Amino acid sequence: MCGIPLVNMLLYPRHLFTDPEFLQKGWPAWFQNERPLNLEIGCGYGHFLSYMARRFPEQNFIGLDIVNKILRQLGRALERDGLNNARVCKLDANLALRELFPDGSLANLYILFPDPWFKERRLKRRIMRAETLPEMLRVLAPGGHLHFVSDDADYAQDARLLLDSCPQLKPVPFPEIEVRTKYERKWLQQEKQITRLSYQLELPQKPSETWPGYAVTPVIPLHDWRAEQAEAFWKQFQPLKEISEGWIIRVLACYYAADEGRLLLRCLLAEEGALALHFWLEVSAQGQLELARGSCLPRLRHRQILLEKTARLIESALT
Amino acid sequence: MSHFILQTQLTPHTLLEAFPQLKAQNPGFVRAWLSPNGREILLEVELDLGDELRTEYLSLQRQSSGDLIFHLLSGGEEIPFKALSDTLQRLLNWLLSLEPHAHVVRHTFGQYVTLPATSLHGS
Repeated sequence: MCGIPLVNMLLYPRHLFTDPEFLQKGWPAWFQNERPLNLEIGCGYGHFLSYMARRFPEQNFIGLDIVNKILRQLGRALERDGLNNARVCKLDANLALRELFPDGSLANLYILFPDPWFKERRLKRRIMRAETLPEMLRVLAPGGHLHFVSDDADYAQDARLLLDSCPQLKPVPFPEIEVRTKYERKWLQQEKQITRLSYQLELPQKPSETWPGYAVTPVIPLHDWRAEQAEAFWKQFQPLKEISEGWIIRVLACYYAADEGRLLLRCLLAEEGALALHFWLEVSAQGQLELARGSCLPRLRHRQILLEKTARLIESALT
Repeated sequence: MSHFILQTQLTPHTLLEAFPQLKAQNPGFVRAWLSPNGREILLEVELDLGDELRTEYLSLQRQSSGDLIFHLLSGGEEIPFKALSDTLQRLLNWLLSLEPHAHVVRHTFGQYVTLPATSLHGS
């Protein structure tokens, strides 16, 4: 059983990225079964998610969104309706795809009425674009389906061109789904043209990645650390910044607990295509860098690398 | 951002010295951390959210005006005020016990914290 009751349908990053059972078993830990997994990116009020969970009780459904208010509402509705085969998560979609889904783990990926990001300079925020497609293909199971629906003609056209040009995908008829989401009803009332695209992953994927067992929380030793350095580092602290490929780590603030000789660091991770987030690190009197108790760094595949980079950043400030 | 502002002579250093007393009376307060310039104290608290314990950091920062401003340094995840109210009340009671004449001059906690009538000058 994971760290929160099964009836709690709304998961925050800390539930996923810090729960030992999830870290060992992946999504089956939450659903307590190995049924086919489906993901909806941008589930909003969850009309579609609820409908699908009810219609296909033999499958599991995950909805991603980032708006607290509607997620809470949806979580309560799922709980009230007893839909134990559905969960909603407050997670950035790119982050979730990259960090939380092993190869070939999804039977269906649904992207319904995503934000078209009209302005030219914001096109890179679109969820469906050439840069994000490889991760979507990676997480789809062989024979799995990718579904995309949009009321925006330009976005739909771009998506169609992108997906049609992908040799691993074969266009298939859009499945019959009776439910209409809030926005879909609105667009239909406005007589907007709605484009529905479905593709099947045709080429066999490489064998599924074994769930890598991310349960290890890294502890990174700082090289040549001496206990007295903690206080010196703290007294002379200046914000630190490390820029690597695609992301920036900033150490924004430093605090000291003199009685324990420990440092507490407030950090920010800004990553291209994902929401910036704060996290806390601690340095023990022995110079061991690790995530502070209760802090969540929602990265699994890259957690070790990020902590190592931060350790080297601290070391460079010490020299 | 949820906060309150306290008009007080208390400094982060005096709060750090008094912290063991707060911790002894309220085990939810775990540790105290001081900023390099000594103007901010960070209180590590363990919140009981019913089905889980959660660590958060409460900041008390001395302003150049002399006021002490409190806010919650959350990791971006929403915390229900109801879950915080007990901790906030204990914190406020502690601060007022250290300096009974301290005044809360502004706060955004609405109904979740009981303020002494003489303490609240405005909100």
